[in-house]
Amino acid sequence: MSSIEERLARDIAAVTGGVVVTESDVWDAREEVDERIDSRRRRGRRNKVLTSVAVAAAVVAVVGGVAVLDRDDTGGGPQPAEPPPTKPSAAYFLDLRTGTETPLPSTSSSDAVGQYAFDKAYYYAAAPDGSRVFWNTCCETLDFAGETNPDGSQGERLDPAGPVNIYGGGWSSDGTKFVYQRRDGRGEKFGNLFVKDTASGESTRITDLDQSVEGYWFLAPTFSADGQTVIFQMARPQSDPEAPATVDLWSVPASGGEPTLFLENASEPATSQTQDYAFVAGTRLRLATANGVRTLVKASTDISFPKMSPDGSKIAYKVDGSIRVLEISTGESDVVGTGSMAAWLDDSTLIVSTGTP
Amino acid sequence: MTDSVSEAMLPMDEARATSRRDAAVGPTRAELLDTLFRLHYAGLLRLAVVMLGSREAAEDAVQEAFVALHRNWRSLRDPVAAEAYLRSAVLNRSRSWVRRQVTQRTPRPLMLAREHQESAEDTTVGRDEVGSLVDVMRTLARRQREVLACRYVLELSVAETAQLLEISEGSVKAHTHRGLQVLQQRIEVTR
Repeated sequence: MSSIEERLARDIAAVTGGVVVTESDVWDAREEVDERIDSRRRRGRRNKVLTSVAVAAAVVAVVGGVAVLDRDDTGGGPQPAEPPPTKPSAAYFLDLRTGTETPLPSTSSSDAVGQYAFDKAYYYAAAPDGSRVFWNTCCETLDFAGETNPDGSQGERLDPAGPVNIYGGGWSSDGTKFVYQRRDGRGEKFGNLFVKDTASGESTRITDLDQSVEGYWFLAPTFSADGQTVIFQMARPQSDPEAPATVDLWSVPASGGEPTLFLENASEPATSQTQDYAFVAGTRLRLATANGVRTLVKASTDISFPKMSPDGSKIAYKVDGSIRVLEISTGESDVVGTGSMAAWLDDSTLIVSTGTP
Repeated sequence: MTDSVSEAMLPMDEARATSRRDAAVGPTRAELLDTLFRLHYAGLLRLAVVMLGSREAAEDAVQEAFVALHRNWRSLRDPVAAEAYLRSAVLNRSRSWVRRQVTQRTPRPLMLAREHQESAEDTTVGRDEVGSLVDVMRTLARRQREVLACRYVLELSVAETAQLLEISEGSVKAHTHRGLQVLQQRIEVTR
């Protein structure tokens, strides 16, 4: 073998050796191929039906000279598409055991601001014991945030007056702390993260983020299982504001400090009282456990708002206007409703938001 | 964090295969695809990464090759033919992917101009960096890089390469010789 052959062989080995193919990769690819095959089959059927209809129409026109088809006599023709699912007008509780949907109650006047109220918010986060629910609207110059009991009683506004907005966030697993993002709604800056002591009501700023950066500002903070750390997403600075943001996960002590890079090219962390956590990577929902990272779902479009159930056994997430719940142990994922995001009230009840940002 | 596994030992979920046993597809096709995935997916992905330089594009090319194989069901009945079909399909898709990239860049003159400013020196091995010769290999003429991929990635013999690419053994030798010669020249430019 000549030296150039040896070098080429060596370089090829270096490149191919760097291509790690995990079981999860093979699984994902196999599923993707199935999806492509199914998609092409559906397209083929649709084209076939349309061709048949076109041919039938031509035959009718030529043979009978009939210009108009009787609408009730289209027997084998394509059926009209089913209407899209109706989106409930207000947020609702969804009992996963029975499938029962119960509209959220209207709130007391103290926390209702114009059209914005407990049952018309965009984002929800329930305390681990289900006793209180945080909510916020999104994403205007003036957004509103509040906290109330699940029955709508004892509501209170949390955001200060003016365009200083608050976005959740969620509780620590022991319910003693709540983390949220506070930012000026007049720009596209991150603002900062705050942790509120639920007993005293006092809030502490835990980050000092670069406020010269503008762009995708949502930080999606969540506590680690032990409540000692806050994990959040942060978009990298980019020169083209129209370009898709590249987002990484960061961690910061819950008592405040310097954020450190936690995971690159990942977004929307979801935690529970277990050590496992989920995150979004592109159109994939991934799970990190003590045994490694694996893909739970690969969707055809963006996945957002993954939320782990308090016991860590399930993940609710939104994809393409549907709310799905994935059972981690089996990997099975089912559509449970329509909405913008879903938060866990307890291990078998979701609060499903229907608001739009 | 991830665990690399041997492709021959992948535990495929039996229930998953069973769930695909619908009358339209038939059980054998899904199961054979599972087997072919176990045996060849990783190797094909590595081939595509060498050819394309991008894992994302490589995954797409390999998946499309399997979709094409599914369409050409008869090839599945002979495992050897299926393997050859997949390899050939990946090489073809690597070729069309490169072509598509060029086409997509056409409406963007600035980017195209920048791409075209790439000189011979730019595509040479500027540093003796492990793996860098593969980058240069991608800039070779199509037949040259395909032949080199068959010989040095798939480790096929001259006869097997000729059969896969449907060219003569003499052409395989000629393209191999010429491709290696160009690589050597590119290296020498930088010395």
